[in-house]
Amino acid sequence: MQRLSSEDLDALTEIINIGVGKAAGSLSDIIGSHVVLKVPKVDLFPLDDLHKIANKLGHDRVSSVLQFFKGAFSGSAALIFPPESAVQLVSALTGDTVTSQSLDSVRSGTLMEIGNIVINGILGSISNILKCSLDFSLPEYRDISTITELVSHNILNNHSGLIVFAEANFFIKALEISGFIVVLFEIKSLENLTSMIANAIFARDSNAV
Amino acid sequence: MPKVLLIDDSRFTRKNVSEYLASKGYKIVEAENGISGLNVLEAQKPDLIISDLLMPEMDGYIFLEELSNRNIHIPVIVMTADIQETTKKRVMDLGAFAIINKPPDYTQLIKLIESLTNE
Repeated sequence: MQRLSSEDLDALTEIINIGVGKAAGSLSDIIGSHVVLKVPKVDLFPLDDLHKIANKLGHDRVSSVLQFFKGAFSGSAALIFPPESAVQLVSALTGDTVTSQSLDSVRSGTLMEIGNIVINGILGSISNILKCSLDFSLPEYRDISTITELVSHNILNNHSGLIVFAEANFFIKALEISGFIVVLFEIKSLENLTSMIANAIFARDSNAV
Repeated sequence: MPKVLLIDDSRFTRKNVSEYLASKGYKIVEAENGISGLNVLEAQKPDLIISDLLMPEMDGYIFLEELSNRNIHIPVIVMTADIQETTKKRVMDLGAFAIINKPPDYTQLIKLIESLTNE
């Protein structure tokens, strides 16, 4: 199986970490509370092994906001909350007391707006550092039970059969909200990815990232 | 030229930042987390420290606390992907002189280094 060198995996993790940091900053601004972050876990595996991450959610069903993207690499990114955290977050943002039964009508709109800001923060940062362009779909709200549902209607082109999977956990202590961010994309080839990483030095003449 | 200790668990960031600072004439020593940062600091006596926050074994917050506990007064610039105002306040309360975001604005970084090392 093709593998990324430890140096390239370290670089890719740091690039995604920077994106997640910006996304957490946006989320913190929206909710007015500190967001505790963990360093993302990044892995590369064959598309055929996608089923191995199917049960990574840890809950029967979770609330997710999903956006697809395509360009230099294609895939999807999602902001994911366990049901009780989604209720808590929407209540905190709307100021209304929301129950899990009454949540559906307000939840999707609120969470989609947050998801859109957070996901664009991550992917915008990653594409800037990797010096590539990505086109985004509109955000979608989905209740899902497995990670693989995030790619069920995907736009993967099956170029190389290689998937990069990144997940970052976060926790908002003041509101007792936990959640995680998943970025999953197919690369055209390992060489294409390593080439993009090799060119991804931090901009020296501007702060455009 | 001043000696800078760069602490970051990411080799990618260490390589990028140290290459840039070296090109400007600074002497760079590196460490991959707070614990090795404390060891390098003792052996190398840097003039200034640039430290990440999220790192395994000893993160940047505990590193700042350790500097305070050990009465070490070398200026620290925190360089992090975490752009939250609450994070900024916490590290400044812990004694950091400045916080900059990743990827760094090198013009800002050089100005900070110059101001903290009286160049």
